[in-house]
Amino acid sequence: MIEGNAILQTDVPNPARAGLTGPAMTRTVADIPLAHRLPRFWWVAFVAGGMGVLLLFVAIGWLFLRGVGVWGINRPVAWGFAIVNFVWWIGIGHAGTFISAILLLLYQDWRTSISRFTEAMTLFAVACAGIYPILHLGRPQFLYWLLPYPDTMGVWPQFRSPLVWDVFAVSTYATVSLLFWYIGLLPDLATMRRLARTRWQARLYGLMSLGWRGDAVHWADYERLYRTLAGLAAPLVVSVHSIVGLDFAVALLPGWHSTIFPPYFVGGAIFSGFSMVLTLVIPLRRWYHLEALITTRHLELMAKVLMVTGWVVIYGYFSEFYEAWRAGNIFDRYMAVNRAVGPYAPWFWLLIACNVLSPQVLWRRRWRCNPAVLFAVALAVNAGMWIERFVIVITSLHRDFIPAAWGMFTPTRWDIATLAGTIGLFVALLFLFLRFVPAISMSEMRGWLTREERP
Amino acid sequence: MSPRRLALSFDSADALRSACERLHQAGFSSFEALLPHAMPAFDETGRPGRPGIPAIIVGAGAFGALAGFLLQAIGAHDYPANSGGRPVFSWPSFIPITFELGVLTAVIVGIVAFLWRAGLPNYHHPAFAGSACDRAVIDRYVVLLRAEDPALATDWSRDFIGELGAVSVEEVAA
Amino acid sequence: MSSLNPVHSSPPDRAPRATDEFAAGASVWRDGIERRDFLKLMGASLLLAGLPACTRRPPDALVSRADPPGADAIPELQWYATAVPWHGYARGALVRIARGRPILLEGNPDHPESRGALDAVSQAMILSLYDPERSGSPRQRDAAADWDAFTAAWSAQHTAMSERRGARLAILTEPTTSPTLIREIHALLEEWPEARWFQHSAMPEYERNGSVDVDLSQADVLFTIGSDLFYQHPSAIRHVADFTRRRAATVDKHSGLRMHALEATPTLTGMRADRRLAVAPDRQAAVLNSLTTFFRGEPQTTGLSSRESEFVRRLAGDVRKTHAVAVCVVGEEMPAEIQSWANAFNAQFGATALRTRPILRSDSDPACHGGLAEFLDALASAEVAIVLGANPAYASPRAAATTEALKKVPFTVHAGESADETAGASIWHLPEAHFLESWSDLRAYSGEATILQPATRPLHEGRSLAEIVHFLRTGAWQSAYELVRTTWRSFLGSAFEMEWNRALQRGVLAAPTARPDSKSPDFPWPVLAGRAPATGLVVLIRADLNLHDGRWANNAWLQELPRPFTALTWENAVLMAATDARERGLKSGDLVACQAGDAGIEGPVWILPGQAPGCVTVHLGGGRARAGHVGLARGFNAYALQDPVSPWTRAGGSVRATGRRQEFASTQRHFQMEGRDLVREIRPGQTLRSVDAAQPTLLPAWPREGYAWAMSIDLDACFGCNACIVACQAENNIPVVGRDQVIREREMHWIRVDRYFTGEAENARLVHQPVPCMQCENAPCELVCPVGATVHSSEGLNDMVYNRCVGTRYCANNCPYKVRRFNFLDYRMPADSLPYLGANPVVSIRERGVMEKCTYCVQRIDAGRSAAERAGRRVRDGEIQTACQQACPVGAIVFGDLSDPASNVSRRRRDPRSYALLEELGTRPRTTYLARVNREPPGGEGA
Repeated sequence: MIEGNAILQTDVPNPARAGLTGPAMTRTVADIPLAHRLPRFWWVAFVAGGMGVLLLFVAIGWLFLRGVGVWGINRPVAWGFAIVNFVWWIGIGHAGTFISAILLLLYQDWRTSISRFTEAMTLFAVACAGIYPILHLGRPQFLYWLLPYPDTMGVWPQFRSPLVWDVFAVSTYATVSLLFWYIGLLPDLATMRRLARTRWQARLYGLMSLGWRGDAVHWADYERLYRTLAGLAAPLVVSVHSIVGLDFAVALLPGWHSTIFPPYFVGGAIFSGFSMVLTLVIPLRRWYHLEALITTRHLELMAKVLMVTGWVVIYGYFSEFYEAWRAGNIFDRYMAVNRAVGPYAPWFWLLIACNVLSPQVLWRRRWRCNPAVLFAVALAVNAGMWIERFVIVITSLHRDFIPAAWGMFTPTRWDIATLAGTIGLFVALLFLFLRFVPAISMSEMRGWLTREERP
Repeated sequence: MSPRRLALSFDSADALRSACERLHQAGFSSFEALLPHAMPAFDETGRPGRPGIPAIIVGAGAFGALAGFLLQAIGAHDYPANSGGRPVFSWPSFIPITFELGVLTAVIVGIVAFLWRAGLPNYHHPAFAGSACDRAVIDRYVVLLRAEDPALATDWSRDFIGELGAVSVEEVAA
Repeated sequence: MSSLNPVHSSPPDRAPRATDEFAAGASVWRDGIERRDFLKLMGASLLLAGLPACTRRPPDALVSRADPPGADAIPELQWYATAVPWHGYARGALVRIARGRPILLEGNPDHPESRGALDAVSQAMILSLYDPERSGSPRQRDAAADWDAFTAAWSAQHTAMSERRGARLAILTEPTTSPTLIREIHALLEEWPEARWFQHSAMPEYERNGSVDVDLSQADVLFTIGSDLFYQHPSAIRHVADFTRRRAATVDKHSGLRMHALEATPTLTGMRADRRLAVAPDRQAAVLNSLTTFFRGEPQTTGLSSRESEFVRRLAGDVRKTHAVAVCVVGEEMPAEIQSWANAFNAQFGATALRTRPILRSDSDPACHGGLAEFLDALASAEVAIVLGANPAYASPRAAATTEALKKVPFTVHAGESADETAGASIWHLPEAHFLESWSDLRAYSGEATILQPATRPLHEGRSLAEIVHFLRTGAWQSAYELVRTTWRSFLGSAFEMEWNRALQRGVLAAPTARPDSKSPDFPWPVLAGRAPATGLVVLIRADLNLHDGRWANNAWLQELPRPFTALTWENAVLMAATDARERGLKSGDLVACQAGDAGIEGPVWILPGQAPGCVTVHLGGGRARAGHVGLARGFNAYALQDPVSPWTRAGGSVRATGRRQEFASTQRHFQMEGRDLVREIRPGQTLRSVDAAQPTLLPAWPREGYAWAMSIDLDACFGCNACIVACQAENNIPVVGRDQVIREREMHWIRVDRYFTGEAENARLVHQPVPCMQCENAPCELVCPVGATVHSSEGLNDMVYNRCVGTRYCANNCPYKVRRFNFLDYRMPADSLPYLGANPVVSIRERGVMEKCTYCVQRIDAGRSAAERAGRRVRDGEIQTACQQACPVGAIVFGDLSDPASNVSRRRRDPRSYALLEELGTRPRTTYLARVNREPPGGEGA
């Protein structure tokens, strides 16, 4: 990439200035998977994640045995944790593609250091999210009825339903993210094969690299492909959470039926995505000594994205209340009041604290660049975004139009076990990734470094 | 004579670039350049890059979107149930799936096209023989000259190759 | 999954009886029955004979009916006229038989006390028939025994008994109107003059007012004092029907039948009043005395609160209108002096609306030697004690004493439908046959008799009380069929067989002429002793609205039927006024110790609007010590608080917090309308915006073809009796989910009755709103279903396709009326269980993970439509009735075809009172409502 094309100048110092050379960088990155030196934190994290996976299996087993009644859902609150968690994970899964695709198109070199890692995070988050719509069904064995196929009865999915849109949006997003990630991985896999220390490593990486040899002609096509895919992925990112937002906006429920939802959800998605990236990157760069590659400046830029998207979300909150007040619709008004002072008010105010107040500390550069502070804020936002979805789903459902049908929602231990389980799955996958795949794109890094070498 | 190849390794992108220019001027018709990273400005100086991947992707996308829309429209008419009093052909609600299927088709077709044109996967290639080429995916910039290249026969060309400033020259059995 | 599998699901005949319907039919023919009847009889017999192996062929000759609505529609269905026993009185009913099994109880249109409708409790009796825990065979000392063993045991007693002419034999029964049972008891007493017969009922004394019966169709003013005339009364259905008809006739005028209610604890009856005054019992005397002064012509309201005097003034004003016929009805739980005040009131204002009725229940039978107290005295010296039907060891204030006394008697026998507490205290327990499996006879409150014909072979070895009494006397068994026929030979006289068959077919026999009441004709206005304000709280004990005296505790439908006022299921509570609760710092759900005298119970507080301050109400029927797993130990046993002298009111009560709390299994958590326009109320003559006025929409209208089914519910008629809920449950195989699932808010009733309190807390009024599926034309649920499992039919039904449903529950979220129900767990009854026999074979039983909801009884629609098509005509208006409509005693629910402008439902839709629930959402519901009418003259706020 030529600096001249840069649209946004973000003065991330090229690591080459700090004396980092291609071979050194390659060794640092490649050694993490190749050398079997598994540090203690890896084992701790992986085992913890593994326990979570076991818990998830137990929870799913019990769910399939007894039915969704093991959860706290009821009438009127027919959607509970499953949907909350689904939206939360999907949201987290938005940072990766956003960074890889949109920042790539904007010639943001600094993304190179974190793109591979965040793409992986996206994949795992989407995997966690993808579990929930299946568990959520009363009769999961008939999941395939949501797909269009030549049914013997001649019936088709009901294409007006946002849930069908979801099926297509989420599966497309998962597929595209995976392919985009894998294509980006090809040259590095070739590198790994050459640096392999055992035959098995060589076999595995060689096979996965499809025989990439860095032919200039391939590189030329590769560049065009990669950029065009990025061009497609960018609107895809926006579409996915817009459609998830439509799940709610299409319903006529007070608190759901609102045109602000798609943009508000996309903002929220990137908001939560970046907070999750920070939550993971800050400890990892420390543990793996990657400060030279993922610099404080990186963190600061991500903090800025966090603030921008944070304000999109705040606008979403504001507009919900404003619309409720301005429309003068008794149901919407009650919903707004009920959120603020109703039985679930504590959750609402916790949400405000996490998503509205906590990011504001980032206005100060000193705190923005302080990994500890940033980490705390990121954690708060992660929690806050989960609570946001909880508030949207539960408080809208539990008191809608007819007071006689109002109710309450209390999660059961199985609700919590399933959430904990997917978090475990996410962690486990993430550390398997760190164990086997170069966490930073070496080929892109080389390109960036060499650009510095040129006069 | 058994077919052979010469692997000329360079330690910088610029060295490779100039070497390639001189090889061209010298009339070397076909050779491969192996790079450790993408060099956007490079392919022009190599063989003229073939445009087309984006075109294929756009075409595939359009096809996928159209197919997606028809799928829904036909599905709705094939089993015209009254759901919520909405018309059978409620096109606005067909838009999301149309878009998603367009993107999905574009991406898959694009990648397949890329691999097909690059001849990948390909686990048997002279580049995998020598140690020089190995470093091409790490830090070296390599030019792989075809042995059957007529220009390679003459002696002066050997000297000429020596002058290209390659850090190493290696014969690769092919 | 859906339909019954006849062969495997039918239990083997345990009680084989020699029966030959055809011979019986032939005998009928010899007696010169008309050909038509004979053929009908043949039809019935052949049907009964020709049904598949599963058919439980009812014994002896039954006569079916052909005329109930839809009878010709569903050929495999049969109707038999019978009656549901309601504390000894008959409630005329038709039992609907599908594939040889009774599946539904409907009202008998020809019966004066049911008029084609049936209350919730009576309908639920069909489930008791299939109750697996109903007593099946005799038990001796709580161990399995058989009839032969008892026969042997009794024959030993019998000889001795005959020798001492019944001495030291004490028999306790419940009051009954059954001519056969009474005949058998009298015969026994004649044969053994030394024997003693006692009667006990834990229910209010419905015969207290003697032969006086009110006829609301003649009254202009109705004044009720603590009476639940419309719900908890032998002729409740007749009264509420008359009342509603009078009101409907004058719906657009301020004139017409006006109603005032004075009560301490809310009743469904009192909540129908134009003006209702809730005052504690100790204030009632003052109010009534003040009224007396008005009627004497020197009005005084001294010592009355403003609300009380306002009430008195308006009531007096209504009563003293020229030519106004005013009747006063007093609750059986009220003190006798108030009844005497009412007699004076009626004598002066209500004469023309009073009827005399024959007193036919055995309460005041001269042959009877008293009640439970006397029975217990007799037990002291008795050698043989026999309790028939009653359960005094639980259902009485003397339960403990009864248990003690019975245990001391050497030979004790209890006969009842379940091995209850009294069975536990007795040596022998005999299973009483369910009324649907044996022959019997009963009389209605108004005197008409019904011969109860069985609808099925006995599922167990139960025998009717008449059979048992006959056996006790003679030592030989005779079939109930013969006993009943013997009784009626004397009544029906010549052409007996023909009369008999008519009686069976029609289900009603005329009442004997009533003897005019012996009481003196003139009633002076008594001056009621204004009781001193009670110290502490007055505890009011009332029969439970679902379980009555607790005998139906094992009926899961009734346990899970939301009580009016509280929506409580599976338990009772201490009902309390908000002010009293505030004084004691109590919240709903706080467990309290409720003391009265030395007695006390522990139960959760429920703060009830409309409850008069200064008194708490507890309901009987909870805390059963011996019942099936359904009814065992649900809630607390309020009999502990009853004082044998005055069982219904107990002064000097106290309520103390225990510091613990209890979670309620209530199907409704919020009783305020929150300013939403849900239950609309208009002034007489006022007009609402037309339901069919065009709503702004972007959607092109779908073409309408054929029928357009719709429903209209009259909120001015509905008084919240829950009959529709049970009818729907029985018709549509709706599962019972149990207390825990209700607490999780997962009850399954397809039609619910929403209740909202309006007005200020103490004097609050309760409005009811039955909410079935609205069958929206632009249904929000359909739009969001990803698999098209809920779609619209061409006739405008919002169909739910169970086997296409994947259970996303999106439809339930998007239903603004929240009428959709979801099978969160597997709620199906096991296919090999006894209740499965009672399932409606034409309605699918829904599996786990599937959404379900009201279908407008689509199976009835289909049957009606195809019948009409076979006859080559359109469905006639009223030919198809939904289950809820059929059960409704006040005709609040009307179902029919909108495409026929003359249909009843079309006319109702054009009614100025007609409106759609949440119409602003543009869902265009097919179910619409008629607004309530506030008849209060402008000025006074509606009572």
